[in-house]
Amino acid sequence: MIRRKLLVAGLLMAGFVATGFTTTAQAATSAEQILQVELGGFVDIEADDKGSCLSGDIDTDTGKLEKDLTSKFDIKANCKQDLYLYAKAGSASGPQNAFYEDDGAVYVALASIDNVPTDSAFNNVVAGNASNADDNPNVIAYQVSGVALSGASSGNTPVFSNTEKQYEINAEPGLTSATTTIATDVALNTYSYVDTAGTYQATVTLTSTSL
Amino acid sequence: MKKIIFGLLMCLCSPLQSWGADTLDETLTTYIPSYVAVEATGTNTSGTIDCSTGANSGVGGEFRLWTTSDETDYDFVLQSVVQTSDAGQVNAYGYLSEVEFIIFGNSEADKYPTSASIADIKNSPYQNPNAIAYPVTTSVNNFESIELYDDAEYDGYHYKLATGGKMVGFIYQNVQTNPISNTYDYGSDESGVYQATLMFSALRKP
Repeated sequence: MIRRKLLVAGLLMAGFVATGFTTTAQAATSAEQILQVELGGFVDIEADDKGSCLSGDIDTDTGKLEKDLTSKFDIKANCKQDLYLYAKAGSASGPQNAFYEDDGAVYVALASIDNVPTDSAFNNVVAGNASNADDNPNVIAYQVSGVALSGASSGNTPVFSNTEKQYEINAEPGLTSATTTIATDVALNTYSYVDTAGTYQATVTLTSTSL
Repeated sequence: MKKIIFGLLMCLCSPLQSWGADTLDETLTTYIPSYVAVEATGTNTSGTIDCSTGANSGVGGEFRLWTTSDETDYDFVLQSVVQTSDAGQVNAYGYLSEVEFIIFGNSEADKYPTSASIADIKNSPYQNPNAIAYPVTTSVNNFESIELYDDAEYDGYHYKLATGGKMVGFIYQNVQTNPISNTYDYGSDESGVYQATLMFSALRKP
């Protein structure tokens, strides 16, 4: 009888031991892996000639433009970008900064491409203190009435730096258009009979590189 | 009492014994527990995106599975998630026009894609800021196969592995370089690190 009890007890213990072994082995049953690809900052600027009004006639009596001139750039950016808008016009020593500030307003100097002005004439205008139109032959200036942003950056306002002679534009991610408008009225003391007939021009540039 | 303890020890530690004149047959059974282990083994998990085309430099995930069991006891499942700004992590896999793809989302908190952006890609890509999708090629080594399934239990698309009775093998998911059409646009996909998380799991069946 005692042997039988011992046998039963032994079998029960063996059963417990075996039950313990049936637990699933412990190991990681899941794993994660993160895939990453980095997209760098990018900006693409295109001159939108169709959206611009790049040429017009000058009234020979007054020097006024027949209509506003506009320059439009389309900007695509995938991040915030600082952009710079400047203008260059040619004088005897080469292209010069054509934006300048005078009494709180921004102007652009247009230079004759047929009779390139002297450096002195050009500087007389962009210094912002022209007192006599006879001092700046072949250079005529007009007020920049504004640089308007639309699209993703419409909430931002371009700021003109008279030190750098450029507008600083904060472009937001997305699509932005920047339109510069040149008003018709001629700047005081920049137009007279000494301005020879021909084409006057300045080249406007929008870039991510500061002057 | 000492005798009882001695008897128990004899049962556990000694060879089979017969008791008196009785004959006793006893079957000894060795139980080998099911063993499953999963490890992420991929090393080509980060790369870059060409800003002008959206093409990535080529990345992929890789997992190793050891198992003494098979699909009768486990579901071996590959899932993926992408972080959104308004719905947490959502399934990153999609399937359109017979193309299997994975969606990467911008990983910067203020640039997470919306769930609408992810849904746009899954349904018909048109406007999906800060999310970019790439086709994937999913394959196995040593195992039988891995296939894409669509099941609400796994929040939509996921992959299930058939081991073919093999005990060890690899699962690969390679991300192809060119993005799915209309999922990359440098005007709406902001700069930053885009990511998706792969998860391979052995899920024991009830």
